[in-house]
Amino acid sequence: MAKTTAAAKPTTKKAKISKTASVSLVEAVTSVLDKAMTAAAPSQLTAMSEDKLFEVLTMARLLRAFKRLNSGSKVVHVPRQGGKASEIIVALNPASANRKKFSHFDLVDASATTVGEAWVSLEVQALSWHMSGGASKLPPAALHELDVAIVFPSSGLYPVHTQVQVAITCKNVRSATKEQVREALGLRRETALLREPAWSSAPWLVASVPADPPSPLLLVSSDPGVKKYRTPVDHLGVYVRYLHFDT
Amino acid sequence: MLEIAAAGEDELEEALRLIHEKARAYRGPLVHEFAEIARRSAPEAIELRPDGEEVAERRTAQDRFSEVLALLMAVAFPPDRETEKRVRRELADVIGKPVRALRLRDGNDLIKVVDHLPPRARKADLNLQHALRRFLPLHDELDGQDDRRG
Repeated sequence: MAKTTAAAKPTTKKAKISKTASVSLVEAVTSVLDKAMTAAAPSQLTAMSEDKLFEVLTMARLLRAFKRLNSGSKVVHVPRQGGKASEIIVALNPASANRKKFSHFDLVDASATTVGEAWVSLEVQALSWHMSGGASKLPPAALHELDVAIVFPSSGLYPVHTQVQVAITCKNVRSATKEQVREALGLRRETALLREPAWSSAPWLVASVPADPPSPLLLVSSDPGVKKYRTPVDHLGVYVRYLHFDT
Repeated sequence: MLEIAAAGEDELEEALRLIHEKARAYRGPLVHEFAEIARRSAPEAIELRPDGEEVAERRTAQDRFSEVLALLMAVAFPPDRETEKRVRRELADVIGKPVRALRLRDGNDLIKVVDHLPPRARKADLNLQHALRRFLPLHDELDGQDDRRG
């Protein structure tokens, strides 16, 4: 028997119409307020996960800038030894550049040379430790955590301050404070000496830095209020940047 | 879809007043956050120098609202599983390969980030967030070679 051609069936469903509702700004703000006022405080683990996510986002944006501003370059994920390429593992707490445990990212230039490594929560040796001679076992204050760091390739477990190309302290905060700027200034002091501006160790990010070594130190905050602290700390090689944490 | 009707200076000031009132009346677990929201949404105090000139240039209602809204949105819509997915997608774009999981190592333990974030927001909330985006400061300040910015 010949098949009959399927005729267009009359549909019983109502056609979907894309509707756009218009509300006033005050109405929209009232809805956000209602939501915010019933929000619970996050658990410690949730708060830590959020903070770490902000650090990873900061690193992703940094790596994207490297790629965009260095023609022919690429970024390669190096999983922990024996780990999956599609799985990124970063340290929850301050840690060493341990390739057996953590992922890192190689920054590779157009000539296929690895010019840097990006890590999350990396502890580096402080300038003061280097100046003291650094003979004995590392005391706790000899190491400082960089939430995101780019260091020279194969810098060892705890890179020294001269091996840091970019240092970033991340603040996923509701309110940026001057104390956070002071903390960044302390980190600046422990990673470089103040000098006349010199060609940066990451010129694609910041062209020149008044520091020796000339590594830019960024304070990246999720609070737009941080912008008011941009100057004059940039004259000491601390660059304050806002990063919208898209929710 | 949700759309916000044109908002001029008056509407922005009205919204700021509303936020300020509600934030001051808030009693709950996020008291520090709401104290900051109240502070930021307060009418700007005008400080005068001895010569009668204003100490600082007054900020526009738009600038003030944008800063307050960013904080309010962060409280109302904290990062969720969709945020984690977006961050993984950004990383995947950078390395040109899929990123299926993001884990944190705590000693010998591996913690999956997504497991500790709230579920994706409901559609109505997403529409609200989307509609308010145009008032938020979204500029990417990590786009490189920006040391000339003041």
